Amino acid sequence: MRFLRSFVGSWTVVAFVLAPRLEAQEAEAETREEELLRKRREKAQSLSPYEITKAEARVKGIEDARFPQKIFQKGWRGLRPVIGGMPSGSGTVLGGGYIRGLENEYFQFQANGRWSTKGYTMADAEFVIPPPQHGRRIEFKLRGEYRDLTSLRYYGLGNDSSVEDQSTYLLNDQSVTAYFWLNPRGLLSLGAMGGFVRTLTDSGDADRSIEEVFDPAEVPGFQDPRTEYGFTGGWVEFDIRDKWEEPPVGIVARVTSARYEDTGISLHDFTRIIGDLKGYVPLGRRNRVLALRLRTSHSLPDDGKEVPFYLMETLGGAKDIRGFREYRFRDTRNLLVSAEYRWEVWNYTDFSFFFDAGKVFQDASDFNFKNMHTGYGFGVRVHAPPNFVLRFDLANSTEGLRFHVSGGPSF
Amino acid sequence: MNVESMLLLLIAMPPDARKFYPDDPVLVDGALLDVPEKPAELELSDLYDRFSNVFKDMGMSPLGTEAQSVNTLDEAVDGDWFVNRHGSKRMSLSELVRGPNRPNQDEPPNPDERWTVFRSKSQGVTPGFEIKDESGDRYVIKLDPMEVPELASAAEVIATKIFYALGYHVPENYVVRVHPDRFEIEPGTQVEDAFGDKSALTPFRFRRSIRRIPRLPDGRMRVTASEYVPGIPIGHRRYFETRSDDPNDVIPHEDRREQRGLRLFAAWLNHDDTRAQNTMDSWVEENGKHHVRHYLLDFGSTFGSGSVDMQLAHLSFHYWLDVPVVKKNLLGFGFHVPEYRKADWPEFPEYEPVGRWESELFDPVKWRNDYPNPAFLRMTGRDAFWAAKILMKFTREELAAIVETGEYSDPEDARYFLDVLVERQLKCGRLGINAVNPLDEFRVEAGELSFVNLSERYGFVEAATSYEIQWFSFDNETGARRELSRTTIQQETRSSLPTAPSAESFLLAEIRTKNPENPHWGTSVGVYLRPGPAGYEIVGIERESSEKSTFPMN
Repeated sequence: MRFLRSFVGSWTVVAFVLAPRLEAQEAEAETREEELLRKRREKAQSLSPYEITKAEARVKGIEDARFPQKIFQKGWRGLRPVIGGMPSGSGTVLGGGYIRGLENEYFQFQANGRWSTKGYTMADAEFVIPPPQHGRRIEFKLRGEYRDLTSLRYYGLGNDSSVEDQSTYLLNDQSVTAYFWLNPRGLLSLGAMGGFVRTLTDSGDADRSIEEVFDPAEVPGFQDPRTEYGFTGGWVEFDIRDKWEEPPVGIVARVTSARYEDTGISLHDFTRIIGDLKGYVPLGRRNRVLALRLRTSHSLPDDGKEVPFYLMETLGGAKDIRGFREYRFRDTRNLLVSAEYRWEVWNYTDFSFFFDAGKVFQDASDFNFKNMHTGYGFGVRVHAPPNFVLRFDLANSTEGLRFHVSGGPSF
Repeated sequence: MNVESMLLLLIAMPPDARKFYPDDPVLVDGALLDVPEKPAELELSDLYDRFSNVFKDMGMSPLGTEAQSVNTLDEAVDGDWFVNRHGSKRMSLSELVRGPNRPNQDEPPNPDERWTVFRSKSQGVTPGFEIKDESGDRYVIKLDPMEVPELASAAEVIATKIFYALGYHVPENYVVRVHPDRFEIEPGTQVEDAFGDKSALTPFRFRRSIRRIPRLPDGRMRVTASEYVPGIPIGHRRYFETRSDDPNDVIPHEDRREQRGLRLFAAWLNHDDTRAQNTMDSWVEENGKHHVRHYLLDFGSTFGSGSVDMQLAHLSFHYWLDVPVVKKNLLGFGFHVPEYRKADWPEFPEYEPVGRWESELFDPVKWRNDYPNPAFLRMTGRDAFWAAKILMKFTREELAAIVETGEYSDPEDARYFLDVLVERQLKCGRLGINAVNPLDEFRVEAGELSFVNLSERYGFVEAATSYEIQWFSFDNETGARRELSRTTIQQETRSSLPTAPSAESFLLAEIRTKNPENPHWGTSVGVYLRPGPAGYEIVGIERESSEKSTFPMN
């Protein structure tokens, strides 16, 4: 019995080893072509559609839908949602609009309505010829705006205004502006503008209103009835940057001048001159760049006239001294210096350390670097061609930490 | 013989020890099965392909394994993937210049005839459209970037000619100058805008879409006409796995020699856009059989061209998303200089039509395509050697003739382009030829085996070289081999054939190359000779792999 078991066991093993070998011998190809044909015939028995997985199909669906470009750029027959577009510090802004002229049309037109979580409302319409995407050497733009900004912040005038005096005011204005820009992307560009704005200020509807904190008589223009301004201006810009490699390096210098004529109550005629100098210095190769900016603005009232507080330029916020809130410092003149050390992390992302300093003042004799308010911080910029920039800045100052999310470069 | 002995014998005996078949070496893939039904068209997701390849090696075979789609001479076979052309039999200058274009037709589609637009798609302000000429042939019309005439069209045409001569299936691409009046719109044609929405294409709308395209002094526009590939297009293919619907596609794409070797060609020509989206499979009929032919498409992003603008500076130096590079940049706080920032590009705007095209910083090992390609990741020394042999076949004169087909209006652009092309060719050639024992072009003549050291031929090595040669007899049925001679060390690149033990015996020469600059050349090249009626013929070449023969891309 034991012998039989051993015999059967051994031959089972032999059969197990031999069977595939005999089969292989039997199936042995005689030529290389035959060998290949055999593999192909074998595969032909189990063909299946060459297709994408469900996961890939889902991604492709999103890709084909061209979201979010289709939603936010073109919309449905030009009707689209809009995000942002109000003055900084307005809170979250949502709205809807209509656009036409995103491709090869002769002009671009858009009209939008916006609402912010702070209760602001805004309506705007814009006509540009030729459309900006054409990148032409000449551009004409006509823009109209209606804004109802119900709680803009006001901290008082001067460089020593206190954060404790934060108050709000309402600004309701309507404006029409025409711009003409020659060679907008060239070495030397020239621009001219002219328009009309109608303004009304009143009590703010959030926190404390302006008149609860300040004597209205000391806030130039607050007690005025609705008034109107005609304005004209122009600018000249030298852009001597080398743009053959990213990021461009070199210098951009711009001087802007504007004249405001108070055609309503004749109290606020003034001239504004702004100088803006930006330098981008490559540190070795362009993977790191030191960006520097010097900007100063001077609003010079005519004799016996004053600059209304709501048309004064301000400092504070994502575009200038990032360690302070928007509209934190306000007066007829200001001076700003900024420095950013930017370095490339990815082709679509830069990091930066920055330092900002600025002051506001009234007398020309204060045009110096004394008593500057300073802030510093760290930023991340996500960018994509051609012009998309999303900027995150975390900044610190004597008034604490501020975090800004904004679009476009800091400077 | 007892059962145990029989078992041992069976285990020891391989099921099929035969090394060479009578039809070896196979030069043409003639074992195609008919594919009677057209495979369904495959549209891949660009994003999915990009991300899946960035975060995972989609190939199945372990890195370092050798290519499967080669014959016993270690060469790619003529077929639906590749056709040995200039690398195997030198093409004439006129053949090189003509490329895949049909003979006797210099410039189809004829710009003097009517071009009927039957499909249109715009990318923002850049129009794109497809036309039929009067003979009914269909073409995709491509335009140069508005601000940089000649950039993409020259690149497309030059790359087409070179890829064709290298051996790939490519479409016919032509630079054509056509007057806008030649276009007419087929009724019912729709235009798809940049957002995917379709609407009727009217003649007015068409004229408006092309009004910004730069005109030549005589009013014509310079365009690239890319003819539809022959057969019925069935979409893209991936650079990994096989087509599950094609019985003839039995070797994973990442393990195909011509797909792996494409890495070196792509590096040479800076075809950073070598990805699934730029492939096209076509269902073709030949001699009553249907099969799937595999094309490479869209060469607008080659050399210094980025198709819609000059090539982005970083492309080809690192992947689109290269995590190790990002990490270095992040932690370097700007003090780590990314490789691409060190490049000295030609002066712009003088060389704008050529784009970002350079050779000094170019390193074919460090070159990267847009995102990882499983076939490229697997290129071994043998694959690189194969590719280098082919690309080194182009002489400067031949390349100059091909560059002329790009029709640069400024001869200085063409000269600079050519200089860089030749310098990059030498770098790629040096890499591939020196990657393995560089012996090739084996011949049996007058009782001798002769060979060529390609590295010496092309001047890629300076130190003196010697060769260790040993002869064996080889039994093709069992794989057994027997020494016929002792190892000889010699400088000559020829060796007398020994006397074989029998008339049926194959001969095997194992040759090792000794060179102090390249110790890895000590790996052997085995040359198998088969006896035939007219004497011995070379039936197999076996190149031993070495560790140095891989080119990590991560």
